[in-house]
Amino acid sequence: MFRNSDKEVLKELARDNYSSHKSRNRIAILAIALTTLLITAVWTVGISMISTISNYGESAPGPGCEGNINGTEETRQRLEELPKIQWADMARECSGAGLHNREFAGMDVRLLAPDKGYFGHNFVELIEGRFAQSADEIVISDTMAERLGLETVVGSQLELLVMIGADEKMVETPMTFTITGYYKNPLINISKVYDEIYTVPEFITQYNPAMGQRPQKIYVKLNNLNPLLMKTDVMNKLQEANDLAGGTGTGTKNTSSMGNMLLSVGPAILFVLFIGMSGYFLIYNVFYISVSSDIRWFGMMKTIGTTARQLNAVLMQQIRRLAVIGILIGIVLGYLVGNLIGPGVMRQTMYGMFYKTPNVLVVFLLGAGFSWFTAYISALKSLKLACHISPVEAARFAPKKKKNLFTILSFALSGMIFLVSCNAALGFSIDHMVERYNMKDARIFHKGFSWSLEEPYQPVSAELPEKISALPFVTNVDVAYQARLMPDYEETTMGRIYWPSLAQVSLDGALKKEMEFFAGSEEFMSTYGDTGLRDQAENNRWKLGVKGIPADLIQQELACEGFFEGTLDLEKFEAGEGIVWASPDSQEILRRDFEGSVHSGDKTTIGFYDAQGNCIEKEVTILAVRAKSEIYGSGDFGVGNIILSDTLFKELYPDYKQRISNIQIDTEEEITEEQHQQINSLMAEEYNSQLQLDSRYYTRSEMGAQKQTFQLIGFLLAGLLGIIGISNLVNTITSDVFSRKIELAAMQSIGMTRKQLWAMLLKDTLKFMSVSVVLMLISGGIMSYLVTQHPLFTGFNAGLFLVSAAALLLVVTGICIFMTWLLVKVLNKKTIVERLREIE
Amino acid sequence: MKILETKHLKKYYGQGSSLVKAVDDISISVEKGEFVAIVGTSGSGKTSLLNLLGGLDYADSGEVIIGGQSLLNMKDEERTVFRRRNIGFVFQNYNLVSMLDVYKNVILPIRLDGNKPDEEFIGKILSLLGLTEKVRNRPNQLSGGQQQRVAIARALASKPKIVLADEPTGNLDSRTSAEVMGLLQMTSREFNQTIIMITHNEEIAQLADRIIHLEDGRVVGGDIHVSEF
Repeated sequence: MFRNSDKEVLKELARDNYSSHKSRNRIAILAIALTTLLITAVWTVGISMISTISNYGESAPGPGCEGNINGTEETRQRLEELPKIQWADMARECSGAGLHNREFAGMDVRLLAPDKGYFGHNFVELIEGRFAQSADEIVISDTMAERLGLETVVGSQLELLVMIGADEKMVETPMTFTITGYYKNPLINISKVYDEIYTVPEFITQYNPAMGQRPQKIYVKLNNLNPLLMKTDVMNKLQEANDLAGGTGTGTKNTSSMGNMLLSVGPAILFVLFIGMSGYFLIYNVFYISVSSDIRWFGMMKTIGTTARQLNAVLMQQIRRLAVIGILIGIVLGYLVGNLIGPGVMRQTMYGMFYKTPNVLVVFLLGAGFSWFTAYISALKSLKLACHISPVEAARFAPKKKKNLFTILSFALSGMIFLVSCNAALGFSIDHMVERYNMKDARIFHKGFSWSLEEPYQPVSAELPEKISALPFVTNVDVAYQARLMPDYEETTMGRIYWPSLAQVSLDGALKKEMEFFAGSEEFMSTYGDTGLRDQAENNRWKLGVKGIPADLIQQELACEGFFEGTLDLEKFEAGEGIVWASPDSQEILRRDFEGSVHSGDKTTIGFYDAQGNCIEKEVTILAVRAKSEIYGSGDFGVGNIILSDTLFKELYPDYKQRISNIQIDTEEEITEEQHQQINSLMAEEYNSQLQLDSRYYTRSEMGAQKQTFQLIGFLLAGLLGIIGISNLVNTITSDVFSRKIELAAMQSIGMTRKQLWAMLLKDTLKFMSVSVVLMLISGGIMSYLVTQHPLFTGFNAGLFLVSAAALLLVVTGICIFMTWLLVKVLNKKTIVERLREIE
Repeated sequence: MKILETKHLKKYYGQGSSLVKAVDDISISVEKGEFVAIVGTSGSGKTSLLNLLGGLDYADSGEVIIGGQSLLNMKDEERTVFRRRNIGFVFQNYNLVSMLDVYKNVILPIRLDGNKPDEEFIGKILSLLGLTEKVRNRPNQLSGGQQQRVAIARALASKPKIVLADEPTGNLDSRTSAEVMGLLQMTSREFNQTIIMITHNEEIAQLADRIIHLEDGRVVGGDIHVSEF
C-alpha cells in the first residue's frame, strides 16, 4: 500500500551525497585499498614464505613427494592402483653406495635410474639437452656441473667411479658416460652434501644386476591428505599404503607433529586476522567520521519522510562504489607486491629456489572477498547510526571520541616486531656462529663414527694427519680415535647396514649400575629404542662408544661438549688413570638424580674387548661426568661414552691407526677459502667418501647467506606491520582531532593560537602513544631476548636494542609531530567562523 | 571613553547576482561600560558583524578599533593574541572544553596567555555567578544555564576590554534566559564591563542599555537608549 517507487531518487541522492564528499571518498578508497593490498600481500608473500621455508627445511631426495615406500616393481604397480596414491615413481639405486669420485669428497652422490614420471613430479627440469636413453648416458645437475668445472655442454664425457656389486664384494669401477643433459637442482640447499645423477633402468640389468634383487625406493604422492592436518597425517597414510601394496618399509620428511605445524602456521593466521582487524578499524573510522559530519543531513532527511531503508540504500550505493574502486586498486598493488617484491626478496635469500607464488586467482578472490566483508562490517555500524537516528537526536549529536585501544595494541605490536627484527637480524653475529660451530679452524671427521654406512667401513689413512701438518699454513693437528667392534654390520631388507662405531666393554661399580638402570628403564627404551641393552646387561658385555682424545685437547673438548660435573685432573687423564664419562642418555631424559648414577671421583674397572674377544681390564677413576650436552656439537665426542687419553687408547687398541675418527686442524690465521680447498684436496686423495670436512671458512659463508636472509625477511615483516601500525595511529589521531574540531574551533576563538593548538594536540597524542611505547619497549625487550636465545640466532645485544629502541621512539615522535602539524593545517583551511557555524 | 569603534565596515559574500551584503557600511561606537544589544532578524548581518568585531573574520573594507587599537593590519596570530587578551566571548552553544572542569574552563584564556590567574578576581566572578560549588564539575555535569554561566565567567576572567555575546540565551528556557540576562547586567555594572550582545529577541534586548537595530546589513532607525524609555 505504501510502496515507494524510489529507485531513481535514491540514485540521485546517492550520487549527490557521493560527489559532495570528495575527501571522504579519497580516504575511504585509500583505506580499503590499503586493507586489500595488505591482505593480498600476506597471502602471497607471507603464507608462501612459510611453505617455502618449510620446503627448504624438509628438502630431501624426492622433493615433490610426501614420502617413499620400499618395494619392487610389483609393489609400485599395486601402489598406482590404489585410489589414495596420486602417483608412484621408482628411483632405482644403481649402486649400493655413493659414487667414489675424488671430486665428490665429503658428499653423497647417487647414481639413480628413476621412472620417467619421477622427473616432472620432483621438479627435475632440464636446462640443457635431454634425459638419458641408454645405460651409458647420464644427466647431471647444474650444481654438479659447477662443482666439476664443466660448461653445460651436451655430449661431454664424464668418468664416474661406481661401486659395482654388493656389500664386501663391492668394487670401485671406473665407467665413462656421455652427459646428454643438465637439470636445475631442486635440492639446492643440500647440494653441498648430496646430489643425484640420472641414467636409465637398463644400467642395473647391464652393469649391476645385484641391485636388481633389492627393494628400491618408490616415491609417492598421496591424494587423501586432510588439508586441515597440514601433512601431520602423512606417516600414517604412507604406512596404510605400504601395508596394502605389500611394501617393506616407509620413509618421509613430513614428521612434524600438529603442534609444530600450528606453531609455524599459527603466527601467519594471527597476522592475517590482525590485518583484517586493522582494516576494519581503518574503514570503520572513515565511515563513522563521514556519517557524524552528515548527521544533521540524515536527521533532516528523516524529518521530511525518508525511511531508514531508503537511507540505507543511499549509503550502501556509495559504500559499494568506494569498495569496488578501493578493492581493485588494492588487488593491483597486491599483485605487484606478491609477484614482484615477494619473489624478488625471496630470491635474495637461501630459500629462493623453493619460493612458489600461490595461485593468483585464489589469492585475488580471497583478498577481494575479505576486503569487501571488512568494508561492509565496518560500515554497518555507521549505517545503523545514520539510518536509525531520530531528527531530534541528530540535532544534539556529538561524535564519540574515546581512545582506540586497538590502536595502542596494534602500534605496540608493530613496534615490538620492529625491535625483534632489528635485534634478531642486525644482531646476528657471524663471528659468534663461526665460534659456536667450530672448535678449531678445520676438522675432518669420519661419518662412520657417528652414523651408519651403506658400504663397508673405510678407515682414514694414518698418513693423512701428517700430510695436513706439512701444509705451510697449518700450525697444529690433533687426532682423535674411536674404537670399532668388528663385524660392524647388520643385514636388512634394504641390504647390509654398517652401524656407527661402538666398542664392547665390561663394567663394574658405578658404571655398571648406571647402565643396568638404563637397561631397565622404559622411558630410556622408548626414547632411544631397544638397542639390545637388556641382553648386554645380562652378559655384562656392553656396546659403548670408546674414544681416545689427546690430553692437550681434552679441556677444549669438554668446553665444547657441555657442562661437566667434576674438575678434570689432567695429569691423571694423560697418564691413563682417569676417564670422562658421557652417558648414553644424551637427551638427559632421566637427568642424573637417579640412585646409582655415576659421579665424579667414582672408581671403576672397565674391560676392553678386541675383535678376537680378548679383554684388557683397566682400573680408572671417573674424573668428569657430562651433566648437560652442548647442542652445537663442535666437539669430537660424537657417540663416545668412555673418553680416554689417546695414549691409553693406543695401548688398549693396537689397531688404532685404522680408527682415526677426527682430525682437528689449527691454521695461522683463520682458514681461508683457498686453504679450505687445499685441505679438501688432500682429503679427496683418500678416495674415501666416508670423510667430511668442516671449517670456519665454510661456516662463515653459510652464515653470511643466513644473515642476509634474516635481514630481508625480518625487515619485510617489520615494514608490513609498520604500515599497519602507522596507518592505525594516523587514523586514530585524525579521527580524534576531527571529533573535537568544534571544541578546537571554540578554543581558537577565545584566543588559542595555531602554535598552541598544535602543541596541545601533540601533547595529547604523545601522552596517548606513551602507553603504546611503554608496551612496545617492554614486550620488544622480552621478545628480543627470547627470540635471540634460539639456536638460529646469536644472543641478545643490549646496545643494539637501545639503539633500535631510540630509533623507534624517534619515528613515533616524528609521526606524531608531523600528523598534528598537518591536522592543524587542514583544520584551519576553514575559518573559525565556518567551523563554529557547523554546529548551527 | 570609546572602547569600540567601527568605521564604514563592510563584509560581502558572493558576486554579481548572488552578492550578499552581510555587513554594509556600518559605523558604530560603544562607550566603556556600556551594555549594547544588536538586534535584527535572521539574515540581518548581526552574527557577521559580531564576528568582525571579535576579529574572527576579516572585513572586506572598513576598520574595527578596540581600545584604541585597529584590527585592520593585524596578522592571524596577532589577532588571536589580541582577542585572547581583550575580548571575551559568550556563544549560544557555550563552547566549553568538555575535558576540563569549570575552574580550568574559566581560566583557560589566561593560561593560554602564559599568565597566572588572579585567584581573588576569579573567586569573585565564580561567587557572583553562583559557581563556587561547581568548580570541580565538568560541563556535561551541568545544566544549560550553569554552562552558560561558566561561559560568562570565562569571558570575564581575563578582564577583557569588551565581551561579545552571540545569542547567549538562544538555547535556554525563558526563566534561565532571564537569569543569564540578569547576570550579564550585573557583571556589566559590577566590573564596568562593556558587553555587546547579539539577539533576535526584542524583549531580551530591552534589558541592555542601548539597542542597535540591523536590517540587511545596515543600522536602521538610529540607536535606541533603553534608558530613554
